[in-house]
This record gives sequence, structure tokens and C-alpha cells, in this order.
Amino acid sequence: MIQVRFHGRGGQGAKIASRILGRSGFLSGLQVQDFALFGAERRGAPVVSFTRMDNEPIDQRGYIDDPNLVVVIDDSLLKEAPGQVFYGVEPSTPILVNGDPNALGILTRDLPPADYYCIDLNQIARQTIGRVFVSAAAAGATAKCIPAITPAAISDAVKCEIADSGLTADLAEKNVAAALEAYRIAPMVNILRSSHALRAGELPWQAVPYLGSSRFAGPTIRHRGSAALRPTGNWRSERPVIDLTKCKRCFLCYLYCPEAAMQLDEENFPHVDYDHCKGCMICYEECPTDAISRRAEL
Amino acid sequence: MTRTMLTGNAAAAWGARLAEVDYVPAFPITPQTEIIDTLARWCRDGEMPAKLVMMDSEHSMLAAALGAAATGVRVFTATSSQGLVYGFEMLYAIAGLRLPLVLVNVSRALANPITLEPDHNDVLSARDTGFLQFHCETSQEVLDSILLGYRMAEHAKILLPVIVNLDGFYLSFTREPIDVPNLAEVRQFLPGFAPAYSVLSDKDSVALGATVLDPSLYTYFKHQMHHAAEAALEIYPQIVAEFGERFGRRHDAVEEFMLDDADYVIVMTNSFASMGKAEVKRLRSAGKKVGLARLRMVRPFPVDDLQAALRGRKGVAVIDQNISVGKGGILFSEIAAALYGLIDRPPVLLSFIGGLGGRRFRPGEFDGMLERLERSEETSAEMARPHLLFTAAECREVGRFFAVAEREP
Repeated sequence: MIQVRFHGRGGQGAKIASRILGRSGFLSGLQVQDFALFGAERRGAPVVSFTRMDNEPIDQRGYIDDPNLVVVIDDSLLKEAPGQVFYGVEPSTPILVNGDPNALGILTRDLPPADYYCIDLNQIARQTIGRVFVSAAAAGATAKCIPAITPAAISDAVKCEIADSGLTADLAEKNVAAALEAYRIAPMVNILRSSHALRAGELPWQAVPYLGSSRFAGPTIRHRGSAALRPTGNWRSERPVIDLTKCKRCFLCYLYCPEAAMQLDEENFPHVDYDHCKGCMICYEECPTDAISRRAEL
Repeated sequence: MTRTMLTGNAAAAWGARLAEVDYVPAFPITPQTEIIDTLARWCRDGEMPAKLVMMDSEHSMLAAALGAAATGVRVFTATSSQGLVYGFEMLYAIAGLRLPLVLVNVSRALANPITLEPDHNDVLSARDTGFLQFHCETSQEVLDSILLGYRMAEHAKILLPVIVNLDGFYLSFTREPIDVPNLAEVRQFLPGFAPAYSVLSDKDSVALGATVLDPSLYTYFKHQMHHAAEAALEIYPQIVAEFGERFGRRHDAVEEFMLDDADYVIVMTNSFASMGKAEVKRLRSAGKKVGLARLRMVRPFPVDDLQAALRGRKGVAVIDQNISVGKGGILFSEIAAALYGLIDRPPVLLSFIGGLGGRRFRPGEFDGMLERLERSEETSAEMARPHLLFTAAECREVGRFFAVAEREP
């Protein structure tokens, strides 16, 4: 069985990529399954999706613990969510990172050992679609590693999945071009060699120790302010920027911010905590003096 | 017939569409929302001539389902977890009025602690309501069970509503290849609903839900429901055989997997049974005589089929993806009762609790369960208590969360 795990941020197309790859396998006559893990996630939050393919009916479900290939659509996740990206990764596991191949050494410095490859999906998307929609390119690059999948199947799969997501025929054609270009230039990765026997000889079960009623009998957090430990600033696709010369110190941004990411200084001027601001732009909407502008995050 | 890729949720929507349901009261909840989202799109675009109404809660949703079903139209609705328990009162009301509708439940563990992934405390809370219950392993089974569900529910000798259950995430968001039958084929199997009576009939008006203060009358109607569920047990094999002839797929009340010469049997339900089958295959290739029985029909409880699958075995392990706090696995208790009267009942019968809140099985756990069965020297105390699956590694991981949760600022 071939198991591919995609890591991206909400809105970047990891789910659609896993579906295009799944549909490509389906159209090529393979047994396939694709799956995305979401629910509480938001645009910009780390998300993960999966595609399984085999010649036999698939009897595994859920999270892929032992991937044959990991695709990282947003390189910032390598450092920000290593627990997710490197889960079940061994030194021989191929990891395909969306980034400039010339920067592979810099991107992967200090990371756990793995078989790293780079392909610039953003560049392909810009050239073929005109915008950074990388689903089709990610699927095309991944399909290159699976000999049973033909370029014709990839084209049909892209059209089918893009139509399902409600985009126009013109955009579908551009996405097909993106997928085929990624397929053309993607590195040929041997993903079959990375098959490890994770399932053998691990821990036996053990009973949960009974803790009594005093500590953590229920899901209670005693550590006040612990939300600050989890940076969510990387979720932003846009950032609010405050022009303090226009600010009348009305506090509306401070009051409306749903993440308490607006802080007041000693003179009661607001400042954005960019480590935690998720870029919802409610402050921008509420500011009565237009002192807050929006800037795209690159 | 079209072969395509569908999630469990999309398969549920297709089931409702192919059943040509008339009315869909709806309220969204993760992980069920994709079902009503899909149906709403089809209704809006004229692809499905049903009336879909967004309600203000699951209680209202199920009340509307009740009212609509009473008028004699075919009703479909769907919820999950918190939504099911919020509308819980209406489940008894619908079943007690003998209204044959289909409700899809997308299993999600109940709060608190709040989570999104599946276990079966939600759907099994409805086990005593009078709804028949089909628990699905695959997307295909979800679609098929909705069609089977209407045939069962609307059968003149049954007239009980049906819950079709699928696991959130593991099935609801998982796409796999499935056969979507065409409408003409489905109409042959499932003609339009012809109710025995309805409130809004222009000929014979009736009053539904009369108050019954006489205990004997109350008892009479509850017995009627139980007899109807027993009748469902008799009728199901005929309907499932007819379905098999038409569509080439069998959905027996208990699915037997590698059971032929098995000394040891693991009992599971729903989508985690796929992973159980993979483990059984692995253990088989290591020479172990083990098989899996999947309980597909939970209500009515298929006692005869379970006895046939489990009698004469050396050991049986029941994996419950639920926990009745203070007792243990709900299905274990029911299966133990089903086996008790047999002279050749399995000498070892063990209860394991797994998959709570979507917890996946860890490597070695199936080997460990089989070892326990093979030991064949279990005490009555060990057989009476539930064994809660957890690992030392998980304990350490939980400790890491606790360290954050309790640190003084």
C-alpha cells in the first residue's frame, strides 16, 4: 500500500490535493482512499490530509502513521509543527517540500533526518494559474512518484475535483496545466522503499493510573494564560497594521478582538500581538477612524 | 450504476436522494454538516425535488421530522453526537408513534471533554428508543443501509424508525470508491412510500398520540413495539437477500470475517472494524486461528446470528467503542447475555474498551488481546470487568499536557 500524507494550512489546498491524487489513482484502476482531518481548524491553521492507494481493497482508516511520502505544502510547518510533519518519518522517508530547490539545504537545516526533495509549487501555480493555488500542482508532483498513475488520469482528476469545488472551466484548465507542469518537473522519488514495520513489537497496553478527584479528574486548566504558549500568528493570510497618528484611543479594536491579541500601552494606544493575531480583520472592520489597514502576508 | 469516489457523508446524501425523500428538516453539526450541505445544494439546484428546511435546533428538527412523517411523506434527517442527545426526547416520541423515517447519525464522542472524533456513546444512548440501528463500516454500506432502512421502517409489520450510523472522520470525511445505483434500479427495490394511515389524509383523518394513563394500555403499546422489532429480525434476511440479488452486495446482520476455522473471535462494529480486519489478516498470516465478527445490526439485536458466529469458540473478545461509566462496554453485556444460555458458549469472554474519542489502536494491542484469549485461565472477575486500552506512551503524553495545564503563572 502507498500512503501519502499532505501537510498544509487551512485554505492552501491540502485537502483538494489529496483528493486529486486519490481520484487520479481511482481513474488509473487502483483501490484508493482519501481523507482530510479537519473540524475545528481555521484558515491558516495547520491541516493534514491523506491518500492511500493499493492494488487490494484498503482496510486501513484514519491517520497515516507510517507514510511512504510526506508532502509539505507550507515550509513554515517544518519548524512550527514538527510533531505533525515528522510523525512516523524515518531517515529513508521521502519528504517533498514546496520551495525553491536551490534553497533545499537552508530549508532543511537542523531538521530531523529524512530524504528531502524540493519543488516550487508556488512558482508553477503563478505561471499556470496566475495565483498561488497549489492543490493541482501538489497532486501532480506527487503522482509522478506513483507509476500506475498516468498524466491523462491526472488531467481528468483535476477537472473532476475542481468542478466539484465549484470553480469555472477556465480555472479547471489552468489547474490541469499546473498539475501537468508539476508532474513534468517533479523529482522522481522512489517511495516504495520506505516501508517500515512500525506495527511490530511496540508497547503493551497499560491501565490509566487512577488520579483521584483532586488533580485533573476533569479537563481543567489551572495554568492561567497558557493560551500564550501556542503561537497562532502563522495562521494569518492578512495582517492588521495600525496607524497610531489616526488612532483616537476609542478601544473598539481592543474590545472586539476575539483573541485578546490587541494590547494597550501605557498611553492606551493599541498594538497588535502578531504572535497570536490570526488575521480575522475584525479590528479593521470596527475601527471608526480607519486607522487600521490590511496587508497581505507573504 | 456509477462507480465514483464518495465520502461517508456524501454517500448518506446519495442514499436520501435515491430514496426520493420528500422532506428533510436539518440542523448542522460537525461532522454531519456535509450531508445537509450536499442535500441543500441539490434541492436548490432542482436536482432533488425535496423540501429541505433549516430548523433552530435538533429538538425542533426531530419534532418537524415527526410531524412530517405523520402526514405520510418520506422523511430523512441527520445529526451527530450533541445534536442527537439534544433532540433525544423526540426519538421516543417518533418511535412510539410508529413513524417510519430514517435518521443518519454521524458518531462523535460526547462532551465533556469536548472533542470531534468518534465513539458510540451517542448512538448507543438511543438503543432503547425503538429505532432500529444499522452501524456501517464503509461508505457503500451507508448508502445501501439508507435504502434498506426505508424498506425495513416502512414495512407494514415493522413501522419503526431507523438510525443509520457512520463514524465521524473515519467514514464521514473518508472518500472511497462506491457504486451509486441509478434511480430506476432503486425504485424497483424501494417504491414510493404508501403509509398505512396519515394525519392529513383527505379521506380518513385520525388523531395521533392519544394519552394513555392506563398502565396496561401503555404496556400493550410497548409490547407492540418490541414485537415489531422482533418481526424486523425475521423480515431482515428476506429484504437483505432481495437487495443482494438486485445490487450484488450482502449486508447481513452480523458480518463474519475469517471465522470458518477460528478458535478465537474479536467482535467489533462500525468503521474501526476495517482496521480490526487488517489486524486479523496479519495475525492469520502468523498462523493464529482468529477471526472477526462485525455487529452491523444493533437493533433489533441479532441473537441467533451472534450465537451462530460465536458458539463453540475457545475465546471471544468484544471491543466496545463506548463506555457505560460504572459498568463497561455496552455491547459486551448484550453479547454475554446472548451467549449465556448456550452449553457450548465460549469459555473465555473478555471485554475491551477501545476507540474512545477516536483513539486508534496501538501496535501490539490485537496481539495482546489474542494472548489474553489464548491463556484460557481467566477468572470470573477478569471476565466481568472491562479492560481499558491505553499505553505507557500515551500516559507519558498525557503527562506532558498536564504539565502545561497545571503550571503556575
